Amino acid sequence: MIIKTPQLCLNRRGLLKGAAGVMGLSAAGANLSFAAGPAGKKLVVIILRGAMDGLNVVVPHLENNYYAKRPGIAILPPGETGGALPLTTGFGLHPALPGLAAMYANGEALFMPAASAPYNERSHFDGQDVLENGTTSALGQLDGWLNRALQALNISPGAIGIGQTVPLILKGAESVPTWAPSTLPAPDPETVDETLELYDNDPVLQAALQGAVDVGALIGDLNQLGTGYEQLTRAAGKLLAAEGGPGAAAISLEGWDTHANEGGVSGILNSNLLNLDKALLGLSEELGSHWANTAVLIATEFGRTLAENGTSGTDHGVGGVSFLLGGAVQGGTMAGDWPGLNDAQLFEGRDVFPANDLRSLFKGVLRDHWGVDVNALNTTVFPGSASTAPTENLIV
Amino acid sequence: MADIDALTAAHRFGMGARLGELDTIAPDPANWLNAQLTDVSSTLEQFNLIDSTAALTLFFDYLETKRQEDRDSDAPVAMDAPVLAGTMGAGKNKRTIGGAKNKRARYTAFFDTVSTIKRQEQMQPPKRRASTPINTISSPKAQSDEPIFYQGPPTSDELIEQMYESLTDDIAVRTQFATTTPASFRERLVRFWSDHFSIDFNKNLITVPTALTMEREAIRPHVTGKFYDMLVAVESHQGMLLYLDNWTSFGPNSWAGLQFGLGLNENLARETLELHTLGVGGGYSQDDIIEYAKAITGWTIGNPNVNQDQLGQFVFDPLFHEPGTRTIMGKSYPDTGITQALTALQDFARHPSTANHIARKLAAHFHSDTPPQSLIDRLSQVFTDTDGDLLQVSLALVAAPEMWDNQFLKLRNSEEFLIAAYRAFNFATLTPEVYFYLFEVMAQIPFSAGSPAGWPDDEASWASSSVIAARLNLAVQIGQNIENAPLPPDYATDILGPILSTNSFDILAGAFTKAQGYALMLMTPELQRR
Repeated sequence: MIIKTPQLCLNRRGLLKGAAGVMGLSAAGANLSFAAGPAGKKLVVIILRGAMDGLNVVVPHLENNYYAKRPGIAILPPGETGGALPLTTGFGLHPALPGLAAMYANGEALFMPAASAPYNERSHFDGQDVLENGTTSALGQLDGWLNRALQALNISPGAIGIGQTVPLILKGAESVPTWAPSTLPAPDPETVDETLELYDNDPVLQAALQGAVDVGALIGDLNQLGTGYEQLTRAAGKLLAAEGGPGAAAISLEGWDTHANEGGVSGILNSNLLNLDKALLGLSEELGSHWANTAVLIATEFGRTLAENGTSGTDHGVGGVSFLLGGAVQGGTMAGDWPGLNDAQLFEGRDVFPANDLRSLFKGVLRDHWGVDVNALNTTVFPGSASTAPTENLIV
Repeated sequence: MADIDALTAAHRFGMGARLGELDTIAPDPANWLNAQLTDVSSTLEQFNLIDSTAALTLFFDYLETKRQEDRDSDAPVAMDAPVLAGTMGAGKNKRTIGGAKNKRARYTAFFDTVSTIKRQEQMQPPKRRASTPINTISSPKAQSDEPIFYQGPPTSDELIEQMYESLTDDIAVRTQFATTTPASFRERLVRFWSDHFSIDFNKNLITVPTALTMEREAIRPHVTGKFYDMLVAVESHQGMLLYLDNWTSFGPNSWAGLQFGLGLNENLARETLELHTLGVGGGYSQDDIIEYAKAITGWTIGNPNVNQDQLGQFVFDPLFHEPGTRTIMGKSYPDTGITQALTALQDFARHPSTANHIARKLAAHFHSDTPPQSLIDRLSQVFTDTDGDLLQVSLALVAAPEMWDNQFLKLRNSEEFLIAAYRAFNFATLTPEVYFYLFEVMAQIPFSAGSPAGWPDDEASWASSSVIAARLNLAVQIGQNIENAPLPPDYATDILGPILSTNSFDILAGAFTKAQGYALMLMTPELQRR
């Protein structure tokens, strides 16, 4: 017997280039069966992993220290060439986010600066855990606040995780399916059908594979969804908008750890933001009429140092920026407090002071968008958080 | 045709049958399993993999190289920013590495090193770091024969590459070994215990070097030894001390605590009680966690600043240790230094809740998500009666009648599926990068469960649409690479024997191509389950 094992994926690059794999285009009608969200309200949580540099995204252009500490990478004030897009007095948006700026102008987006999960140790791993588990420590809970929020509702609207595995924010008692674009070529439809037949006496595996076929049919040709961030958000949008689609989705977008070559109006952050802007417009487009009932929360584990470093980047900090957008959002404004950037106002002399607890933002959205009971928010969803009040006036 | 017991031995206890293996097992399946428990010759020593001390020395070399590079470039590098030192009012000494004469300065330098290390997480998984074309990477064994040429001493980036290469090599060796070993029950047990004491290499750059050494150094030697010995080996292992932060947990009234105003980190103490021994609801309180956390203050690692003579090794440093008697679950433990916590661990290992917690996990892993209570009770009793003798517990698992009945209830997790597929088709020569990639496709890269609780061990977690779709995609790729092998239904009969259903046999027999047939064979419910 000869087994050509070395050739399996020997050209892994070739596989990666191959047709993006999505299951079962042959399937007839798709069949999702989530309960509808509370009054059809959709909630999307996007986690920007790696700690996005909030100061170069929502630019505090009246702070002298911002320009003093970032001589090489600061974004110029609105009105100047390559300057920020105007927001409320004192703040501007990175010019790579025109779509988001338009949403803001349209009253569909707001920003919370100086925002942080209740954690200031500057470790990605622990910071993301705290952001997602809804407590004040990395091992405070081994499940996620979004899953616990689903449980707190009388009829759970269900959720989908965009990614190969369920992200911590969606882990928990409520069962959550996942979807991820495959880097392997799709099998031919006959093989899919034969495999479904193999499971005639195994309902669990058959349902799982059928689910993949159904989701694949809803998503359609991956190549039509763009690439990178946009592919993920458009896929999420299609699933949320589908008949019987879930009420929530969690999406992880990676690549924000800009220690080097972060840059100002060019560099890694600029290209990430261009992609993010495209991804958000794509999400809104796929959601279609559901956009009016949608809130999109965008958060990152922490912010970055005020000062740029020696490699045209920034390092792990504390206070960051969070976004809230969607047709259901009372936008066109900033949320929370701004602590200032003078040396004396910084956290430990180097970072944006975490003036706004992200749990306030999350609680405000869950209470006013989904109607989650405040007592549940204070005790089970965000345990021991009664003293952290929900942010008011986030939702239309 | 091999009988059903051979199949149970190969699939439920072992990691899947290789071609012809069921015939070897058939004469005496129980004996085939038991022999693996008493034969301790199956180790990974022949592969000359790096040990923890050498691996951490490499890390500290990296740290010093990086400092030197930053100094040379004269650039302010905030990875190195003296934040922790700054909060202690000790930032001025941040460059006194090793050379410092007095104790306070050396410890100050150590805390500075710690704050540096804590900022060095790698958000980029190793696959994206690979810059070498994939077809030039040879297997780890061949690689060691090749001379490595450097232009001068390695740069910090090259040292990072070395750390990740060690990691991917180690994963490849471990996987190849599981793919080819005739003692696959023993390998399953290794994975069970490794996952019981789950650690994750992604936490931080310093957790990369020791993520896999822990299994080799603390798990494998005790898989059929005493639970207490494994427990001590794990809780004092560099991998665990780094992953759950105990290397920087300080008694508030210890010398270091008083000098620098530092305090406890409860992570390791909490997980020792909640996950490693008694289990949730096992009879301990938050106060017990804090008391035990104080008992293990001082369990740390020799580093370039303090305890340099034990660089990269486990160290009990009395200067971190909280003085005084500890009271845990009603029992007093006088301050006897390191033995204070060892005595507590002995009591945790002997606690009835621990026996029950371990028995339940073993039964759920090897039998089904909802194992019979009789099996749990049986294992728990043996654990208690033999003072946690894992050889006796494993023998009891083999002897349990429940294990030879109602087979194929348990869905294989993705690593188990991959290894069962590799075993069936003898995929033993993939490169480390390809192994790593395939685990990634399957969403189960070893040692990256992301939680100290380890990987989920239930059907709902693995029977998800995206997991099954990924398995089908991969099965099709594998099927296309099999040549000159028996026809798919015959092949499946050899691997799955009498359990292969008529439905599956007929579908394999009716496959359009052999490639499709092999793919379908891997997707049969009989192979997806165990």
